[in-house]
Amino acid sequence: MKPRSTRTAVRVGTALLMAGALAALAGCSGGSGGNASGGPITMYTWVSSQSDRDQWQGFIDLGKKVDPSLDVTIEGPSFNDYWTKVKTRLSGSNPPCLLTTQAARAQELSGLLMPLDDLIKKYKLDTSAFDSSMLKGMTVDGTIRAIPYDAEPIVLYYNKDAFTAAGLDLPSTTYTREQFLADAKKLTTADHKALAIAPGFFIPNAWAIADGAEAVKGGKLDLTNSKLVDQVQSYFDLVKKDGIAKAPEAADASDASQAAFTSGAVDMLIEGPWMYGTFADAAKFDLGVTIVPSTSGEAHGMTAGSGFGIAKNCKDPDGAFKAIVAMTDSSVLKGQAEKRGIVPSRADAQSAWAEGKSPEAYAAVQALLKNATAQLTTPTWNQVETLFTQYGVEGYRGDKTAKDVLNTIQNSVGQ
Amino acid sequence: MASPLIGAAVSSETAAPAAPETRPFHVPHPSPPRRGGKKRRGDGLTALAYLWPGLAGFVFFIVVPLLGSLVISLFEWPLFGSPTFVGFANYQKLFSDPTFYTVLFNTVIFAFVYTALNLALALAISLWLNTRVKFAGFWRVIFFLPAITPMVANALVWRLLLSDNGIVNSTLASIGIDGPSWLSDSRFALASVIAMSVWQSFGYNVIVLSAGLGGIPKEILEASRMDGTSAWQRLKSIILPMLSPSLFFTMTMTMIGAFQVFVQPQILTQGGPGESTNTFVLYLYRNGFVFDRLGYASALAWMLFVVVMLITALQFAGQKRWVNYDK
Repeated sequence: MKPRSTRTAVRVGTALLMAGALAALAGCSGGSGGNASGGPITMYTWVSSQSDRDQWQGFIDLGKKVDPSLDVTIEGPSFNDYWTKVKTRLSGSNPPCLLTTQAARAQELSGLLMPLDDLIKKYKLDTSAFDSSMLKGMTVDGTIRAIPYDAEPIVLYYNKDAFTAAGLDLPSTTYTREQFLADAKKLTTADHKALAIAPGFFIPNAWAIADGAEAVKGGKLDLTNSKLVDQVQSYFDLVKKDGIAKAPEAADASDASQAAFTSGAVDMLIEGPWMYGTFADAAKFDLGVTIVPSTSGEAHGMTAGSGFGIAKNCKDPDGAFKAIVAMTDSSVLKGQAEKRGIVPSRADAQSAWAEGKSPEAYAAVQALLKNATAQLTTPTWNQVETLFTQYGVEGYRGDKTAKDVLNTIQNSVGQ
Repeated sequence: MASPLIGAAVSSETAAPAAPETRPFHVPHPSPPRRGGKKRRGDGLTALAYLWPGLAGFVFFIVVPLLGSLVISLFEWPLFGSPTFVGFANYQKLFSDPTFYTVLFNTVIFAFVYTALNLALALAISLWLNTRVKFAGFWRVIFFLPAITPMVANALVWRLLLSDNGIVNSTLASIGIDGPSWLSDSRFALASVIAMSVWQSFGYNVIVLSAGLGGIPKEILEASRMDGTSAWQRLKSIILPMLSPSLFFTMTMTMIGAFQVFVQPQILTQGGPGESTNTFVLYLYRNGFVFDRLGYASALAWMLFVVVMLITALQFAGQKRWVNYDK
């Protein structure tokens, strides 16, 4: 070999070696994940905190007492990321078998969730033991996509001390809109509002359902029906017309209104019963719970809740369904109600929620569950929520009417 | 989904230092091509061997995703499930989507106002720092701090400042002024987003323009002073023309960044009230990852690419009139 070509060969070799070493260093992280076939069943769910992980582990640990062969591992991102990542996770290799979903998201995830009706028949799961509104919420195109583990009717939390100090009667399991407004106006002063409002459509929807108005009809988005428009307008009016609440800002997270309530900055808040433990710990006042007020004063609850489903591309649906049966057993839900404060989806387990809570709180939840409607949604519900967060601000401020806001959203979503 | 803007940023970066012929004396001219056209194959292979990691990265992380997003834009493509070929339907839909025009308009307003304010402020501060001000280095660091702080953290702080009961309105109330809803009133929301964005990023341009000012020969300024020019005349006739390459670079890069605004409206206003602060990339992101419409989001990304390319091309075409590369 000539000296020149030798030099060239050495230079090329050195370059390749260095570049290869760099590439190897850059790519040396990562490794294979997932479970071997025949191993544990992976449950993909939201794990925002250690508390979330403990909750899922609680289902597994209690489920093992029902079915000792239960072998489930937990995997997943934060709650906010879950709804996007679950779709990409199922598209990847070694997809998980078990998924969790909220009833409100069942429509959105319907492409991922296997219909469970055949497995329900095969394993003779008695669905009549579960809250019917939640089962309806988990039903897409006539088939059940997830078995609910909780059924949480939205309630009105109030500050008992503030009510007593203002000389007001404490609300019971009936509460009219008229009485609610009278109480709220008495509690409101120049620098103190009675009610906290968060952005988004979730709570206005519960307010509307309390008076029998719904946003979805026959599986289609029906935001412009006059009953719903009137209800949403009455909710907007709480700020501009009645002056009992401050307008939320679009970027406010729900914890802003929650903090306002527990700190005593406001006296009432509409939220889910899953917040009871958190509020009771944080509030320095006696915590009251009643129904979301309606015109008639009778309870009509909007249930929210979550459940376990099976991924469409799961290779062992039977094993996954057996795990769901174990984790939604009555004994498991009772244990989770006592330990984690969920309102169980099985009627025979709901009394366990009363543990450590005031009797009127349990009475309010019971009254709402007796006449409950699930938060029915459409596959495009994310758009509805996003647009209501954007446009709702103008509704509360009185810049736009509920009719304008809901018409805009209905037209934008185009369904 | 890859944004074609990555390509735009790269191309403008490479194009931006359209520097004059300023080869130092000690750097030899490149060798003339060899007579007879004989090629040195060995050097080519060596170059390729050194290049391939970077080239592979460029191809796999820039070119392939770019082409991928172009392909995706021709499909109805959910995050999970089978894509359906729809041809140019996503592009047709885009032109009949009123929100598309709204976010485009918002983004153009944001980009031009933000870039103008950013450059005016950065230029003013740079000129001030270039005088014999004490602790100039300290001030430069102070102005640069927001640029190196995470955007999300800055936006959260500004949200606290501008909320209805925030520090700004509390301060105004203390002097008897009833402050507006900066983030919830559509008349003020976009202005608030622009103000926060300018505060966040003008420090970077201060550094670039200060370097440009430092490069102006002192003798020229000294000579003009001896000729009896005023400060305004020196600024207009010497400083600005000699600073124009730096101004052109900062203007181009600031404008490209402005078209990609996302975090500020996402954190401050969620795009509201109404659509008043909804921007192109926020709308694009929501379509892709919240509304599960990757095809439509990719079509939006390509439209943004075209818009940014056009505006950058116009800037390059216009520079001939005002950018002076003579030293």
